[in-house]
Amino acid sequence: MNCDTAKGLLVLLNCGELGFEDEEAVEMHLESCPACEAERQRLEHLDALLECQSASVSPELLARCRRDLSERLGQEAPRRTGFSPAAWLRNLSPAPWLKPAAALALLAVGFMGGKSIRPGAPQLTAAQPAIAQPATDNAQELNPVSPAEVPISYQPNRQAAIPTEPNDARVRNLLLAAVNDQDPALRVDSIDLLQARCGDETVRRALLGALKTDRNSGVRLKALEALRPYARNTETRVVLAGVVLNDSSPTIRAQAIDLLVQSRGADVASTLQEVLRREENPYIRERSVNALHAMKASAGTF
Amino acid sequence: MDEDALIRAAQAGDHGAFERLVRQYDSSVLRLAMNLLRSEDDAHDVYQEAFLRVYRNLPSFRFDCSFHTWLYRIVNNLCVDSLRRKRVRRTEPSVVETAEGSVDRLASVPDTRGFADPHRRLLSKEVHDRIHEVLAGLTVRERMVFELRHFQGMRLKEIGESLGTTEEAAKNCLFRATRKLRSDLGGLL
Repeated sequence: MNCDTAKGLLVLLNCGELGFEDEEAVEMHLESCPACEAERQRLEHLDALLECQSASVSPELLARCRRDLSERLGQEAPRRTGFSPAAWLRNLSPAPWLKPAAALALLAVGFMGGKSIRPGAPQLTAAQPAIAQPATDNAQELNPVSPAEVPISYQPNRQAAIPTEPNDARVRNLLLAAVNDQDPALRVDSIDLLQARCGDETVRRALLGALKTDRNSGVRLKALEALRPYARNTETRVVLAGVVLNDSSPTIRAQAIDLLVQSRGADVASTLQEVLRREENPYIRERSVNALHAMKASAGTF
Repeated sequence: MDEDALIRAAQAGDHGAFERLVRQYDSSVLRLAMNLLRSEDDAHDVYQEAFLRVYRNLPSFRFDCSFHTWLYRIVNNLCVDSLRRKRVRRTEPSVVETAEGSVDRLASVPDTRGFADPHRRLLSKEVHDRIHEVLAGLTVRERMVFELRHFQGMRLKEIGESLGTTEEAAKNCLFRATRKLRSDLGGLL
């Protein structure tokens, strides 16, 4: 292979686009030709320079894009029946006007979603007249097939008639059950509604569970926001430390750092030092360094 | 669930599957748009429009090409349109007269280039300006091919498909772009 041919193939070699034989031939030529080898190094340097020029995408911009897409898809949804992407994309920040509707939707899930209500279950049962009675008013059909199974065909446009007592334990249980629903939008809505009840340990644990394990980052972000007033709580701090180190979303890791540093204990410093040891995101690293600096703690563990 | 199954589920109305599809690609789509358009607002618009088009047209997606290629074809077309519009806008004066006197509109535009990141300030501003200038000198298509190959890691065949051309044409475009960059940035290498 001569130098002209080799130089012509260097771009493809750099991109990994050469076939086996061509690559071998170019590599052999490079071993014996310092001029072409220097040219290859210049091309690699060019790539490195351009990589530095590559624009960075902030987690905030990505979050804004997702939120706005959610809204626009919400306007699109009626065009396609049976599919509501707005529901899932609403996960970052549901519009305030949707909240009452979400509360009612959650109640409707109790009636429609399961299609079977078993006595003794934490949701609605035949032995719970406070909610069962209005349901009878609106239900088109309520024909017990067996004592254990009650199929209900519900009239969605009349759901507003259901009374919702905010402190009703059954409503709380319904919301807690919805935190584990398979629909992420429903999980977000239920967390939103449970937010005001975070003083309740059961609710807080459910939200901590969502923050730790929910597969949807929007749901985890919502849980994180809901737990904000309890950032100094020991149990919350333990979960936050895990999130800072392990969550797949940089937005959530960054926000978890903000909550975690509300306490300035040695455990927080060591978590942030661990972040610096393993984190690759420059924005989060910078945030950790700043937090450690504010705590007068060193960035290294020595 | 593999990608084909995910697409089929999304086509059937599984919104969780649609979410996963979007989340799988949206960071790299946004990065591509940012790299090409150098503006958060423009990149945001391309992101919105691209996924809206995916949403609208997903039911008619027939697996004639990969989803990735199809998505990037949409994104590339949107970026080309945006760049063309930008070139027209460039002729507008940056300094405008207002009731409060002259205002330089560019002064209020945030710097979203790589060196706005503190970790990338190591390179001098002059070097960055020079690189930016050279990149801006490439044709829209050359920039696309270069970006897709180097920063999105796409194969030339796939780039060709997503740009509606052949692998050979994409390869030639990459050669041209590299030659220009190599020549114009020669002093820095």
